[in-house]
Amino acid sequence: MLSYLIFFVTVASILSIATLGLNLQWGVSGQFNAGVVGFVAVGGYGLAILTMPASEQLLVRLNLPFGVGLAASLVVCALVALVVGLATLRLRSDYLAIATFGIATSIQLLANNLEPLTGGSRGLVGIPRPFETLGPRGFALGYLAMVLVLLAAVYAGLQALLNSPWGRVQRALREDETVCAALGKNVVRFRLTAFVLGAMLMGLSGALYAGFVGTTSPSEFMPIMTFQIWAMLIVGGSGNNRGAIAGSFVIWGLWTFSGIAIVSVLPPHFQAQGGAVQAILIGLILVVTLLLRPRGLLGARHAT
Amino acid sequence: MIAQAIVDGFLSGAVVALGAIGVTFSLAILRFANFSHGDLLSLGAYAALFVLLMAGSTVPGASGALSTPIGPFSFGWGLPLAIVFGMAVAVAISLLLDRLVYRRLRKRSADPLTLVFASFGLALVLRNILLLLFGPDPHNYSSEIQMAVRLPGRVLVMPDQLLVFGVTLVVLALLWFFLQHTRYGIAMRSVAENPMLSSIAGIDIAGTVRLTWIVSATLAALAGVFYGVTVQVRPEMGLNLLLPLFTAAIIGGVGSVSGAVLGALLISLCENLFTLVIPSTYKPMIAFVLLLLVLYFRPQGLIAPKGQR
Amino acid sequence: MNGAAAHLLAAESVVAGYVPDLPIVHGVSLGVGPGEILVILGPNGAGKSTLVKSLAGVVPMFGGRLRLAGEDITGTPAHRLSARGIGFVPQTANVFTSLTVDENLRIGGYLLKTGLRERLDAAYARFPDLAQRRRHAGHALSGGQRQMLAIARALMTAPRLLLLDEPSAGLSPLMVSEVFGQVRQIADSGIAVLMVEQNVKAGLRIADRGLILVNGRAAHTGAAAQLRDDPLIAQLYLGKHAAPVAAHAAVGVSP
Repeated sequence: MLSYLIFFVTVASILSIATLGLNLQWGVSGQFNAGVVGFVAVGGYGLAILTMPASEQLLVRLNLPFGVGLAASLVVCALVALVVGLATLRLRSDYLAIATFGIATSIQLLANNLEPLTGGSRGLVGIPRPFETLGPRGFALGYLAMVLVLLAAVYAGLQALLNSPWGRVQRALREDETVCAALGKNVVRFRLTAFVLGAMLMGLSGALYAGFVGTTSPSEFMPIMTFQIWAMLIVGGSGNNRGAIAGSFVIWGLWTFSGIAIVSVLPPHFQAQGGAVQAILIGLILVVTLLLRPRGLLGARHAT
Repeated sequence: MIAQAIVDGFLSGAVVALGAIGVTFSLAILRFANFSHGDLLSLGAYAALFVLLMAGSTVPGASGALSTPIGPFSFGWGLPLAIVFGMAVAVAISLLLDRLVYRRLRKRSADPLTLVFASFGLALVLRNILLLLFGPDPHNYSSEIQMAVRLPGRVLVMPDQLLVFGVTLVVLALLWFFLQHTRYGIAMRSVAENPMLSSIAGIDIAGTVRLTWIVSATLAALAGVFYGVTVQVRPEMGLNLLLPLFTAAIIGGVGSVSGAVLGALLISLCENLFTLVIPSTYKPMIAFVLLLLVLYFRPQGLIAPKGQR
Repeated sequence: MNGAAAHLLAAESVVAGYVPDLPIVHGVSLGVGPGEILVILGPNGAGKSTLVKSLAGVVPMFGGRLRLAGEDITGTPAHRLSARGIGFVPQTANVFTSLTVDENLRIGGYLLKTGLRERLDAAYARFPDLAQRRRHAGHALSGGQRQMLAIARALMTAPRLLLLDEPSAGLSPLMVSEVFGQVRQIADSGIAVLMVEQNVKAGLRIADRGLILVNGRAAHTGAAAQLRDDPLIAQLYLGKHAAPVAAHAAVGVSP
């Protein structure tokens, strides 16, 4: 029971980091990322690729230490975000949605097919992680502690950022872009930094996740994750960092609970469809929350 | 080899074109990127499948008036009926969703992203309902085997593909006539360019919105069935087609029907030509690369109607 | 030259703006009669454009009443106003640039059940320049030609009231004089014309009456001839912002 709780809290905390990243992109900067899972996957695969022990089948055999791999995967994430962001930030807002959707699809495709790099559909197994020498219980607790520390650091960092002049400009931009442009603020640059930072947080989340489960494969980063993280954000109250974390726990709880319920309720040959039921639930949560919230997705005006 | 790829490009481009036209109307008139458009294609395809399943046309050796293949094609008279049903279902669901979801959101907020977000969630729901109803395995409209037709240049095509291409040309011609020469068609074009000016001329925007959904859904359902006829009916077909559809509409220039068609052809041709040199599993990335190129170098599209945003 | 009863359009205490908490027009009343031209003048930001747009149903009206030939039309949505006989020529984006001249006019005549052909012929007769360019797309027209097309489009429904927002904007003096000549002819044919104008001199020259708007309020109104000599106008003409003078009731003011 306790180990399950540790598992739950660890994963929920890891996902919270991604949700905080999404909040930076959407809640603070008003940008719609329809391919969240892509950035998470880049982080996860980035870590895996860079830290895997050298092997014949792999193209990259750097076997870097965990921390270095983590940092490097964030850099890769930032680059990917830059490519997508630069393409679309001057254009109509739904173009970013389309482009991020495209990048997520492409990343999934590449992950599935570039076997020497990513291990193809089987993925990469046996990612070296910290705390492994402490045994299973030691690893679980150690990793959880690390994740919680990182989450706290990210949260504190974001709060500080949002209360800084940079954060104030972002909020002002969200309210009225033309005014800010007139004031001489480089709108595109502000948008881009928020987008890239948010993407890096998503990558961090992915890397931590890959480290936690020790493997990475296309099935760890399915398209449904984008919807899960969005649900986590808007259920918690978009624009609000605390809400993002709370929402992550709530939705992750709902997801695991519904998963258990489906497994125990549905007859065996329907269980494959169980995922579809969960997906419909998430979709309905998204649409219904949108309809019921009087200000749509705006949530709290303040991002704190 | 190249000739085959080019012909394949044209033939499969027809399906993408029909879907992309609906997307371009969405972007221009409804003013948002409809992420559930791909699943509208799936909806049409599966609704048609439902009819054929009921008629027993999908099983090997199916016989009877509806199932017996017409001429060299793989389907019987059941398919045209199924297409009509598919269109009706797609139109009905689109109008229903507009009423229940999109219209409410339009009233509340001018931000197009709320509509995008809603379509995002609705797409997930639609897709998974189809998955629940029909299961994860692919379906075919019939089990009949066709004889390939040999064209000059050692090109092989299926009669089904030729028919789909031909019907698409007819539909495009009808659409062109509708948009250029009928009152409602010109109204759609005017609302796409300038809703304010259209309403002071007396055009009811709400009515035009409904008409747009009807036209888009009808084309989407047709595209879906055509995809099902020439490829397969799969639960993820809508999702897989979404990126090419968006890319085609953007390449062509938002609001331009001929642009959407050209964009679709371009993507299809590129996909078929590039897979001569790169593994075909990477086919879906071609649309994305084209998208990035267009967004970087000519975001208004190739045939941006002059004077539009 | 008209008494209150003869006004085709009577607007009472119009409050209008884009956002309910921030009205731009604060309780303006005015009237226009058939065959007369009322010109709305005022410094930049006075709310002239917002006023005419609210009369056209394009900008929300938060307060006040609108009457057309005695009938209350307050709150009628923009697309129904054209059926009631109101035509509007916006200042910008006033023609469909992706449609041809002919298509633009057809859109103008969208609501016509019969007689479209006759109206088209009449439009081409009135604007021979457009007749020569029937198949040209809107974006291929010059500024002056676009203005003519915009007016022709609004006239397709044979409106009783024509609203114009700065028709002379961006035009050469020659074109301005042509456009205003057309507007005068339109009024002379019995249509009530309400025109927002930045060009004070030209506006007052063809108008019958004028209304000066300052900070969203009606500051002064009267016959055009008298306004031309009004010191307030001189201040406006020289570009100084005038403080609002006591507002006269605009409805029914006769010279």
